[in-house]
Amino acid sequence: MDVKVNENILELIANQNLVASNLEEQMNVTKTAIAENPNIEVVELNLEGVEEIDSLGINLVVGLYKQISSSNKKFLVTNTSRSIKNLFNLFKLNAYFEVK
Amino acid sequence: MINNPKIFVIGEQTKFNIDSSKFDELNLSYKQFSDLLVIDALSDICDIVILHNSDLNKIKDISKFDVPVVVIIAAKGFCKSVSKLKNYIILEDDNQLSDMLDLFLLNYNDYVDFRSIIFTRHTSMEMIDETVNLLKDFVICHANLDELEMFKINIVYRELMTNAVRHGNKFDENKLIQVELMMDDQIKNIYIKIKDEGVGFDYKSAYDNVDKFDELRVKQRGLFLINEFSEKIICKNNKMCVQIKLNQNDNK
Repeated sequence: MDVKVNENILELIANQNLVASNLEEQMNVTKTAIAENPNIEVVELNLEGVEEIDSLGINLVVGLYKQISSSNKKFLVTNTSRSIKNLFNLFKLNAYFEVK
Repeated sequence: MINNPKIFVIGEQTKFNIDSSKFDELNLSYKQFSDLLVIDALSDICDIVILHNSDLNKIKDISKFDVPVVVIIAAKGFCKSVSKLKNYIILEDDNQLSDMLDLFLLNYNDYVDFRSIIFTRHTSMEMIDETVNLLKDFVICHANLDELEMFKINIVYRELMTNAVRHGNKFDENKLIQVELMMDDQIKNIYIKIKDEGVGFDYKSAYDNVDKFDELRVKQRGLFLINEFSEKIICKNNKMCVQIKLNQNDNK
C-alpha cells in the first residue's frame, strides 16, 4: 500500500490484491498513514492495483470507512475494476461511500 | 461399481514408483508399458490409463484418446495439452493414487467425461494465492469466460479455502487441505471440492445466522458470497462441494 498526501486528501494506493494473505501488512500501513495525518479531510482508497478482493478485504474497507466516518471525514473508493465495483454494490456499500 | 477394470500404467520403468500392492489389494488387473506411443492402440480396450511422469508432448494427437478415464500423475501445474482430453484426472504424486483408485471403484461413472485436478496443500494463507493460479489455468484452458465470471469463480474458491485455513484447520500448518477441481464435459459447470481436517460445521445454520441486514458488518461475508455465486452447495462435516455455473459465449 502506497501513501500520498495532497493538501487535505490522504490517498491510499493499494498495489496488491486485498486478500487474506496480505491484508495485515496493508492494514498496518493504513493505520499508520491515518494516525500520521490527523488533519486530512478526505481519505481515498485507490484500488488501481487490485484485481482480486475477498470477504476479508471487503471487511478491511468497511472497517476503514467506519473509522474515517466516525471522525467526520469523507471516505471514497476509486479506480475499481468492474468486478470489484459490482461486489461493493452487491453488499450495498455504495449507499455509504462513493465507489468509482 | 465397475468389475475388474482394465488399468494400463504407462511410464518409464526407472520412474515407476506406484505401489503395485494397491492394485493387488483391490484385485485389479493392470499392465505396465514404458512406451507412451502404445496408447493409441490401447485406448479402446481399457477402462483407466495411468500416465506416470510421461511426456505428453510425445503423443501425436492427444485429442484422439478415447479412454473413459485418464489419470495423469505429474508435477505441479497444469499442462495445456491435457485440456484437449475429453476426460482426465491430474494427481500431483503417487500418494494420491491409492485414494483415487478407491474412489474410482465406487464412483467410476462420476469420473467418466469429467476433467479434474486433485491436489493437497499444507495449511497457510499464502498457499491460497498459489492455488488460485492453478484454478485460473484450469478454467482458462477450457472455458471462455469474461472478467466477471472468472472473478466469481475465484472469489468462491478463495472463500472456501480461507474458511478451510481459518476455521477448519485453524491455521495449523501441519494440517492438510485437499482440493478437487472438476469440470463437466459440456463445460457448463465447475465443481470445487474442499476437504480440511477440522471437525466440520453446519453450513445451513451458519448461513442462516448471517445478519444480512447489517450492511456494515465486518464479518460473515464469506458464506454470503459462496451462496450468492454457487448453483449448489453440499457441506458434509469437513467437506464442502460447490457447483458454479459457467456462463460463457462459446466453448473452446
